[in-house]
Amino acid sequence: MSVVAAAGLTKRFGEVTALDDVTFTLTGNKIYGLLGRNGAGKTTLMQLITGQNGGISGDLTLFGERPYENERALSRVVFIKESQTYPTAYQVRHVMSLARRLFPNWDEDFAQSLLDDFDLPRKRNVRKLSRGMLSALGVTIGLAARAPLTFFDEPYLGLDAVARQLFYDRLLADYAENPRTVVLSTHLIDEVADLIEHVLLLDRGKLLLDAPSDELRGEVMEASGPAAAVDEFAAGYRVLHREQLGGAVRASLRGSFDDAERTRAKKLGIDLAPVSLQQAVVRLTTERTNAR
Amino acid sequence: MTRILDVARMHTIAWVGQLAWPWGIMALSLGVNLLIFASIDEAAPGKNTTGGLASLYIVCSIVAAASISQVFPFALGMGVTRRTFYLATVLVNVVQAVAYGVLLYLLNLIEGATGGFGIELRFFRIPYIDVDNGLLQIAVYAVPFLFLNFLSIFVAVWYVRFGMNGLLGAGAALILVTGLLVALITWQGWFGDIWQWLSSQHQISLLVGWPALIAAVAALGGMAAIRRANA
Repeated sequence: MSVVAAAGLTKRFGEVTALDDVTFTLTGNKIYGLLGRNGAGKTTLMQLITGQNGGISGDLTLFGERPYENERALSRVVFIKESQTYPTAYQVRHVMSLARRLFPNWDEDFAQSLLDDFDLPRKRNVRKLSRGMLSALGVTIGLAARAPLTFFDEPYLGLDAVARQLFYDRLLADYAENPRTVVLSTHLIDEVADLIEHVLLLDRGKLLLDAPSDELRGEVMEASGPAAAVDEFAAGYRVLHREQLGGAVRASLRGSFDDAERTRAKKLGIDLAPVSLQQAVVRLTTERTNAR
Repeated sequence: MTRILDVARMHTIAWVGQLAWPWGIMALSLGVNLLIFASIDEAAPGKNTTGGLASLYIVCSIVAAASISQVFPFALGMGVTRRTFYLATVLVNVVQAVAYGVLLYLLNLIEGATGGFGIELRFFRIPYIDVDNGLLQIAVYAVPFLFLNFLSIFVAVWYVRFGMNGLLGAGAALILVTGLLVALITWQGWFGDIWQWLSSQHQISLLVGWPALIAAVAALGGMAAIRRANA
C-alpha cells in the first residue's frame, strides 16, 4: 500500500494556485527530498497530507484514507515544521511528556538521548528557547516519534553546522534500524544530498520532477569544451543552461549518458562531469523559469 | 477516549498558570475586600456585599480563550484532529467548572461558619445567588464558568478560523443586530413585557437553566466552527 498518493491534487488560496494538478505516490521506507524554491508549494503540500489544511480538489490519500480529521491516519504521521508554536506556559519537559503519549511508536530513551545531544534544558520555558533550540526540540520530537511517515519542513532554522550534522547522523542511524518514510523539505540540498533517495521537485505549484536521486544525478551532466564541439554534442540533449567564455562553452545537459555517448564526448574533446544534486535542481528550475 | 484524555493534558500540564492566576487574583480581591470592610467601623445594613468574586470568573474565561489560541495550533501540529482537541477542551472546562463550583461552595460554608470572616462580609454568599440546597449551590457557582468560558472559547475559535477581520466583522454585525433589536423593542414598547417575563422566571432558571442552555449552544457553535479551522 502506498503511504501517500496524490492524483490531480490542486489547492487554491483565493486567486493563488498553491498546488496545480500534482500527482505522485510515496512508497514505504524511503527518504524523500521535497525540494523547490520559496513559494513552490512544499509546505502547502505537507499541510494537506497531514490534515492541517483542507479544501482541495483532486485526490489525496494517507495510508489509503483521506487525511483531513482522520485520527487513525494522522496518528501515524509526525510533521515537524519550522513555524511550530508552543503554548507559552510550557517547558521543554511538558512538550516531551505530551508527545510521548500522542505518538504510538515514541521511544523515550531515544528522546532523552537527543535532548542531551542537543543540550536542551528540560525545565527551560519554551518562550526562552533560542531559535536553534526550538528547532532542536522539533527535531527531537520528529525523530523520537518514530512515526511511519515523518515530515521535516526546514527543521534546521537557527541550528549550527554541528547540530545539523548531528541531526543528519541521528536520522540516518535511526532510519537504518527503524525503516520508515521520511520527507525532508530543505533549501540546503547539498547537505542532505547523500541522505535523499528520491527527489520530488516542486516549482510554482507544479511537480517538476519525481525521480530517484541517483537517476537524477546521472541524467544531468555538465559538458565543457570548444563551442562547436559542445554544441554538436548537445544536439541530442535538453540544454538546461549554457554559458560561453570566448571559444569555450559550458553547458548543463539533461538526457541519458551511456558509454557510447561518453566516448563520443571524449572524441569531441569535451569534458563531461556530473553535477551535484543542488546544481541539478537549480538548473532544472531555472530552465523552466526561463522558458516561461 | 484515551486520546481525548491525552489531549486534555495539553490544557492541564502547565497547571500553575491555569490555576494560579484566577485563584490568585480572586484571593487578592478577597484580601482587599477584607481590609476595606474591616476598616469601616459600621457598615450600613445590607452594604456588606462585594462583587469581588466576579474576578475569578473573568480571569477564568480569559485563560480559556488563551488556551484556544495557544494550544490549538500546537495540538494540530502534533497530529491531533480538531474534533479530538475540541472534545478534550470541553471535558477540561466542564470538569474544571464542577471542581471550582465545589471549591466555592466550601468557601461559602467557611464564610458562613466564621460569620463572614468575623466582619459579616458576604464575598461568597452573595444575596440572590446564595441558595439553601448544597448541590444547587454548587450548580449556581459552576454554571457561570461554563457560560463565560464557552462564550469566550467560541470567540477564540472564531478568531482562529477567521482572523482579526473575521472577529471585528462579527463584532460589528453583533452591535448592528443588537442596536436594531433594541430600537425595535423600544419602538414597539416591549421592554415592560420583557421585564415581566424575566421577573416571572424562577431564580434557578435564571441562575442555572438559561445560562447553561446558552453555554451549550456556544459549545456546539465552537465545535462547528473549529472543524474547518486551520492553524
